[in-house]
Amino acid sequence: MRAGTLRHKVEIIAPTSARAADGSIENVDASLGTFYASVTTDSLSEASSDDKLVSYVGHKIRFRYNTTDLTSLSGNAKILLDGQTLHVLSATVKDYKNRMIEVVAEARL
Amino acid sequence: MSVNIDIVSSMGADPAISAVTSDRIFLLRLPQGQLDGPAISFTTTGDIPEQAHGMLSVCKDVELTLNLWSYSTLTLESLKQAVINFWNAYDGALGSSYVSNALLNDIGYSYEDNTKLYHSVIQATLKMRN
Repeated sequence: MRAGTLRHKVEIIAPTSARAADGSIENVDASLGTFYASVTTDSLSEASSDDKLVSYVGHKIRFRYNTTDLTSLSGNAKILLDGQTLHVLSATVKDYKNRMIEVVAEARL
Repeated sequence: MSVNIDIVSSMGADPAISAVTSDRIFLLRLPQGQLDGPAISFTTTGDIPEQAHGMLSVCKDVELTLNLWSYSTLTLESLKQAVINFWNAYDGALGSSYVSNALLNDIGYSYEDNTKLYHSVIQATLKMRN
């Protein structure tokens, strides 16, 4: 059992592409690191798409980092949390200190 | 060995082509995002050796379609000339294979509004043997 505010373990992944020997472009998800974070659900909504109902669950994720662990968090990054893949919507550095970052991410179920 | 690997490595090693494209030679499509300069995407068909009368013939015609991309017509023209000079009357090794001739066909220019890039297409029939 983990206690405390930053008790969830999240992994951040971001797509990168590389050129193979035959010139083809290979896209792979590279891990940017694993961090302890505080995760709260933020908003819920639903939409129908192609006869399917899709749920969007907003998450607010706060985690501690330093600039040697994480240099950038791009908009196409994703966050893995307890088997769920969350899509990053925004990222904000708290208090201009490069120590705490708050990410708004969305699970699409 | 795939002919695609031979094409990428041989064209990439040509000083005139690599001076314009650096290592931006891709199979089928351009990568997503910002290109740092002119680039080539290409496709090939016919990478199958002929087999006839019980004997294995390694002759094959590979149809190579080269799509040249650039932000300006000036650099596109430089790239086009470099590519034509590279393939014109080609008679030599291409990686593990041998190209005895290349028949070139200039398909023409266009401007792609979606990508904001100038585009030129060159088709080449590579007469290949071992």
